[in-house]
This record gives sequence, C-alpha cells and structure tokens, in this order.
Amino acid sequence: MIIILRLIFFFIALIAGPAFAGDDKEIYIRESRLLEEELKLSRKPDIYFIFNLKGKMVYIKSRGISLKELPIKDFNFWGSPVSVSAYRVREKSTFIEPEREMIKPGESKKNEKYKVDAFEVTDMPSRYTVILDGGIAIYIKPLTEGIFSGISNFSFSSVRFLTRPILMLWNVLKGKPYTAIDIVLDKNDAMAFYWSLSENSNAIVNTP
Amino acid sequence: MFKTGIFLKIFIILFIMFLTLESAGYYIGNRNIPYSDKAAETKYRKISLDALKARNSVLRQKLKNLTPDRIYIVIDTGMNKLYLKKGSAVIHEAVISCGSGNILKDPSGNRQWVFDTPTGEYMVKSKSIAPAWTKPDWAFIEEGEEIPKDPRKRIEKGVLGEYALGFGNGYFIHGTLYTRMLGRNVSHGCIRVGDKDLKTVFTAAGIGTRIYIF
Repeated sequence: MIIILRLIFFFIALIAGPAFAGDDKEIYIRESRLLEEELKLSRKPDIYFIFNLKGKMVYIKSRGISLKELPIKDFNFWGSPVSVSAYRVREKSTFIEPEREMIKPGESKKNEKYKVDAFEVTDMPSRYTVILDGGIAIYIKPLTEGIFSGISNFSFSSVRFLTRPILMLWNVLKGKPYTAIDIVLDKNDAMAFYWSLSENSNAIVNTP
Repeated sequence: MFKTGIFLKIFIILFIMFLTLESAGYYIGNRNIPYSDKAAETKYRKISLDALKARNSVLRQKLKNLTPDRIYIVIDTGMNKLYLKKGSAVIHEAVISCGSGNILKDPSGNRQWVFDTPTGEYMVKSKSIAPAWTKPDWAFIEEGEEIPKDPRKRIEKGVLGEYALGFGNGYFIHGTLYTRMLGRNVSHGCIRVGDKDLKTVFTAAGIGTRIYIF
C-alpha cells in the first residue's frame, strides 16, 4: 500500500513540480559548487578525479593541477541527478582482478635467466566498475574494437538497458537515490585510469 | 492448443507488465530522489546572479593560480613517463621506470613490502651527486642474503647513477644501470631515469621543487 502511495505521490510531484533545472542561475550555482568542491580537494596533497561528463573529459588532478586528461568517447546517464560534491571512491571492481607477483627471496641471484615480472598498466582491465559513496556506480568500458569487444559491449549495453529502469523504479519505491553512469574510454585510457584510480581517493562528477 | 493459448496470454500479460515497469522506471527514475545538499542549495539561492558570476570568476582564478609558475615534476607511474613542467608547458619529457608493484615477504618475520611508487604531492628534499645507496633490509631479503649488523656493509656505490633527488621516506629520483628496462615498471618504488634525462632534471629542480606522482 505504501509503495502504491509513493508511486502516486511521485506522479503528482512530477506533474505539479516546478521545473528549476536549466535556468541560468542553476547553471552558475552548479559551477560555483563545482569550483568550491575542487578547491576543497586541492587543499590536500592527494590525487583526485573529475568526471566531467559535460565537457566529455576525465581529469586526474592534484592541487588543482591537471596531471592527465582522458577524453570520454561516449556516456550514458541513468537515475538520480548527482549533486556537486566530492565523493569517496569506495570500490573499483572488475571480473578478474589483476594480481601482483610475489617475489621469492634469493631467486634473482640463483636464476641467471630471472626477469622481473612487472605489474604494469597493460595488465589492468579496460572494463570495470567504480563505486562512489552514496551508491553512484560508474561503469567504464573500452571503445569497441573488433568482434569480441563489439559483442561484449553490445551484450552489456542490452542487459543494462533492460535492467536499469527496473532498478531505478525499485530505488524510487525504496526512497533511495540511484545513479548509474556508463563511460566509454579509449582502451588504453581505460586501463591507465584503472591504474591511477585508488580506493578511498576522491572524485567529483559533473553531469550535463 | 488450449495450453498454447493460455501460455500466449500469460506471456503477453507479463510482457506488458515488464514494459510498464520499464517505462515507469525510465520516466520516474531519471527524476528520482537527488543526492540533495539542501543547506548548500539554500545558501547559493540567496546570492544574486551577478554576484554568483563574480564569485565563480574569483573561484576559477583561485584554482588557476594553484598551477605553479615555477618548475615542477609530474610522474605518470602507469606510462613510466616523467614531465618537467612550468605552468602548463612541458619543458622536458623522459622515459623512466617506476615501482614494480610486486610483493616481498620476510620469511623470518611479519614484514612485507609492496614495491609501488607512492602517489600524491611531494617535494624535492635532498640533492646529491654520485650518491651511494644504503641498502635497506628488503634488498638483502630479496637476494636471499643475511641482513648485516655493520651499517657500512649496507653501502653500495654506483648503482644509483650520477645524481639523486630524494623526496622522502627513502624514495629517490635517481639513475640506473638497467637502462634497457626504462619504460617498464621494475623498480622498488624509486623513480629510475636515464643518465641524460637525469642530468636535465637534476639541474632544473631545486630543493622544494614540487613532484606530483599519479
């Protein structure tokens, strides 16, 4: 019964509610908050990330300095509008996590052909999920290159197009915000971003 | 025939229900509960549009002013690249070797080392010519050797190249004997640079020069 009432309430709110989005002041308020949040982050000596969906760019920054810029090839935004705040990166997850090598003491001296097994950017996944505090999920995927990547991207997109609306509705009924963002990066950029992104770092999401 | 009819009806009803849910999700979900920050929203709404524009311009300038106008170093640990920068201009670029990310466990204790290059903001704390390396415990453990009690036995000359710039916690930007490994993640966390590039970095950077590692 409560669920039905909530549903009715939402429909009424949607029809009767004033449309604030899009007015001039809203744009400047958003920009102001974005700049303030970044200035707050720049006071710490840590690396932080800005997902600028509006400008189609991901920035890796520290102290306000842009260290690397990764162009966003495409994106899809689902669910609740994201407020301009710094969100902690709670988790980055992928199907097969890259593994670090364990060094066996003395092996480098014993074995003449010994070579260092490096944990490198090429070992990083190009398809993964970044979960921010508040439950914002950012799905990174590579640009389609070849048949395998094409099939993979198509099937992931299809599943998401079917499941996301249900999840959105479910969260509305639960009274919780829900946001899912799909970001397409160049394959090398996606791997480089996974490399640089560390859990517990901060990120700002600027939506269009 | 009868069963097929019922099955079809159920299928159509379920399909319609699914489509309804999907449509409702699309329609409502996008205007779902925002991650609202009402206190901040109210604060900004009180400001006039002109004041807001002026405020943004000041904030933008503040952020822009954070980029040092003096020389600073940027290290891309994933791409194994070093950039010597001034403002937004790149003065010099070098191929380097950063941390291997490998793990070493002390077989006789509970110690463990992860050979990552640390990330974040640092500054050059020391500069030395013809530096000698004071081998830490892990260097002996990795080679399967006993850790010497005499600190003089830890000193090794010639392995760090001609120059070293220390940036704290035992981490250095230094030279290397393994120049063919430049461009790969093979170090124990330090930043290895080729001789020519190292000389350029050493000459350009002074004590206090900022280093940004990501």
